[in-house]
Amino acid sequence: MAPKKAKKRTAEGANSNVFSMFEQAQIQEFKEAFTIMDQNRDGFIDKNDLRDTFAALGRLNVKQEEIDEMLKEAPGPINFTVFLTMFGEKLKGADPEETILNAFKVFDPEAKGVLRKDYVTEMLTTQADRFSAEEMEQMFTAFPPDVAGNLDYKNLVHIITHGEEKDQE
Amino acid sequence: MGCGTSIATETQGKKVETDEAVVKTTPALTMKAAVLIQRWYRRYMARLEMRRRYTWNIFQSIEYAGEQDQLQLSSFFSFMLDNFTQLSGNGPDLISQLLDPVVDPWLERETCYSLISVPDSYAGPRLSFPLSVSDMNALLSAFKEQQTLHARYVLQLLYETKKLLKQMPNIIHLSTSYINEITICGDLHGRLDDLLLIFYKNGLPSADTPYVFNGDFVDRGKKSIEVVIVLFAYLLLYPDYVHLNRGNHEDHIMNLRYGFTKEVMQKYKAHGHEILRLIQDIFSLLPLATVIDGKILIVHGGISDQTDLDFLGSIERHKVKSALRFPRRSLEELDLGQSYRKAKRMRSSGGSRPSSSRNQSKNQKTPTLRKRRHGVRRQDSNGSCSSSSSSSSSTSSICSPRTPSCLSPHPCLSPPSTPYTVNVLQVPFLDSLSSVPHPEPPQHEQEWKQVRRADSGEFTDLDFATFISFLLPLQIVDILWSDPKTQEGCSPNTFRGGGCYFGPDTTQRLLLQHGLKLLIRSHECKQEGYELCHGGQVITIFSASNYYEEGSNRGAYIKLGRELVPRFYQYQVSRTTRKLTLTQSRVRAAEGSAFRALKEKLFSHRSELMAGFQQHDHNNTGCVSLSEWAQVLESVLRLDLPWRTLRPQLTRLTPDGSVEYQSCFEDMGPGISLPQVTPNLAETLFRYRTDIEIIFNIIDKDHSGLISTEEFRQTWRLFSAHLGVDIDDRAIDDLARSIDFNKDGSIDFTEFLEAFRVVHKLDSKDTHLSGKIDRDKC
Repeated sequence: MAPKKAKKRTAEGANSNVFSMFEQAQIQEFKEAFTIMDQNRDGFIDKNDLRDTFAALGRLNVKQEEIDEMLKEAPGPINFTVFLTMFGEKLKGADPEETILNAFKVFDPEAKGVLRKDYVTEMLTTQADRFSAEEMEQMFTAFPPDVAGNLDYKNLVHIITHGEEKDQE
Repeated sequence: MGCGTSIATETQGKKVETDEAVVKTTPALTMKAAVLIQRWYRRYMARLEMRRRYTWNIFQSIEYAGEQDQLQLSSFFSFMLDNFTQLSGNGPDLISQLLDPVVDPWLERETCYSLISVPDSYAGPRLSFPLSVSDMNALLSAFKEQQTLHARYVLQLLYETKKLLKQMPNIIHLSTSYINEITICGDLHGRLDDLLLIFYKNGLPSADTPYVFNGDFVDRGKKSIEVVIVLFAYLLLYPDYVHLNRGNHEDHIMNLRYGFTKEVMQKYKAHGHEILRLIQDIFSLLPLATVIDGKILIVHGGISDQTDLDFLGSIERHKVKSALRFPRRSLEELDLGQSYRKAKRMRSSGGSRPSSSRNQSKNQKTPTLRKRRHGVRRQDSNGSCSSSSSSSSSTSSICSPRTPSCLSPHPCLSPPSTPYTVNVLQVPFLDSLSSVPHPEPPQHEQEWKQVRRADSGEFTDLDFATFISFLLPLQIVDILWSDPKTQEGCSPNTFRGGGCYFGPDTTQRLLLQHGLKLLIRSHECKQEGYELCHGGQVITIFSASNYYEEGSNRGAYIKLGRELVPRFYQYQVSRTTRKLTLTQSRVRAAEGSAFRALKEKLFSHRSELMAGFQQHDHNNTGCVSLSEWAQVLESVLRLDLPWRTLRPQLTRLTPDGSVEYQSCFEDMGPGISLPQVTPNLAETLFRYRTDIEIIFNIIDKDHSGLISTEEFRQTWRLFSAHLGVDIDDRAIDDLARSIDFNKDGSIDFTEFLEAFRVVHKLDSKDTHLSGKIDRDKC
């Protein structure tokens, strides 16, 4: 999974032709992603589509304001072009396993390989792009900590990275 | 979306930082790490969600494409009608059996079932009629233990059910003033486990726990007969508290295709035939709609801009067997002999229809109220549609209500020597005492090629009408097949091949027109078991969990109290012990199933696809670009799927990024080696395997599994001629000879079909052939 060169990021709302940012094949892929998100197939992603998508990702009670904020970033109704401008960059890439492991290791300086469940919760729900309580619960349901309350983060990372790889075979 | 091809962007910088052997944890570093983890995990969840969604798309589009094939089959049947004389000796019987099975007078006799003896060794429940609660409990326990109810009791149950249903109106009106909370369930599709789970969670049907079941009780699932036995039994036990609506699968043609017929014949070898006939009648006697408190309308599919509840209430629903539709021919081609001209003479124009009270629509016993459909849809060469109407004379005879048993006292067809075609007929508009004017058929009907019903009614000596006894008034098709859509307007439902797509304006209009506030319908599988649309005016309720695959969706039911505010209850039957808590496993299981189905589709269209690919591959490199590949797939298969996203599961890429298009056929092959069969023929057989099976099932009247080589030849010739597939006659003969394995002049078509089952070569689990067959059918 050799990473391709990082594309130059244009400022949002800049006047450059968004379609020139990507290769044709990528645009086609994004178009498919757009269609998948646009559940009622009307060519626009509206707040219902966004809310449905959030809900499907475990964030059930996304506040109306948050959705409105996202929609406000767009100059108008989100058709595919706008979608590409807003989300194009964010759609690319799967992080290499090692990167994520190292991120977890920041919290595990003694390199024990596990983290305490409540510590993980605190770390992920109180800072940066905070996880909601539901998201946290979803993660622990899928990757349950052991009886002592320890989360084997190496296993988690391994399963997600390699599980997906296996599915692509 | 980065499937497998990663393009690290902002993570690059962080990688360097966190790679240090000694990690000094500053707040900034902590936060960066957290962000990384959060984003990474969310992206993973998003990708899973995406996979789940396109898996869903795959299932749905294949399912609907299959239903659309129904039209293909219908037009083939009409083609057979046209050419029935060629089916030597088999024609009239064959067609009549298909269209309007001669009802065995034996079945109408009160005591027919009592003559069936039940051996002492039978350990299942022995029902006594009228049914009691203890009978029901015995029945449920027996089914939970995988027992089968003896045919004698099944027949008795069915007979009693039919008697009861005959007295019911087309539209059932319920009131919450004397009924507590009503529970409304959607499609069950032969899933007994889901039904039992609902009973467990919600309570068995009773005066305190009334139920409405909104159609589609059978097909696809493996316990359809058990489901209908339970539902009919409760209907008999509590006719005021259990209500059943008809669904589009309560239809014998659908049952032939989607597994119910096969299930019954397998479980009831001796009496399956009779059971199916009775069930067929019962299906056509099921009510079409339920209304609660005059405010909530419950139908299986949906509505259209032509839906008129008053009209629906007055149709003679029991005459409507199936939604089979035939293409139209011009009037001139019709040569039906004397009887037809006689009918013409008896028609007269003018005269208005006397009015009758609306209540009469509820009482089908009243002979005076029989509304005849009058429809003439003539399609001229330029496709314009003319509909003439004439009302009947006021002096028609009043007959006793026709039961299906006297529908066709003679064979359906005019003398075999006279070829005839299915036709749009000038239907005599017979007397009707209903005041309801029938709605003007919409323009778009043309596209659906519907034939108006020729109902012979009083004219018992008219042959012409009796052979079209299947026809469904358009209104009923709409009720059973339509789907809601977000856009305004009402358009033909091309996805399914029947019914409409109805928009919020259509819903609004109908609700206003009849003073309703809510439409509850089923018909579409929903992830959460239910879904609201049209601003909350339409609810879809679906009660078969794991419909496409283990873990694919939940089932749900609605509870409605006096305040008429719906509450939703969800559930999911979990059959395997495999842990499905990990979303990834769940998605993967469903995905695997979807891709197998998709690959079969690809395989069965192989030559078309290869032709398409080769058009882009002039130098015969075996590769095309990704765009070209996706383009070809969509133009041939028309499934509207995200092909680029699906590509990794379907084909290989070369190092330079182009698609090796042949690799998508690599791991698929025929069931057994096909003797002397050209690839073209094989592929056609693959593609139309289900249709062919249905046709064989019809030909094989005694359900022995064998048809004669001659019958096979004739049928196959007809079918391929109709499809426009150029098959060499000799190839067919060779094929027939080669599959007549014991050379006795008869073909075991189960074996034959087995040969044309697509096998997934890499499927290590798939050792049992029979298991696969069941799975394919259900």
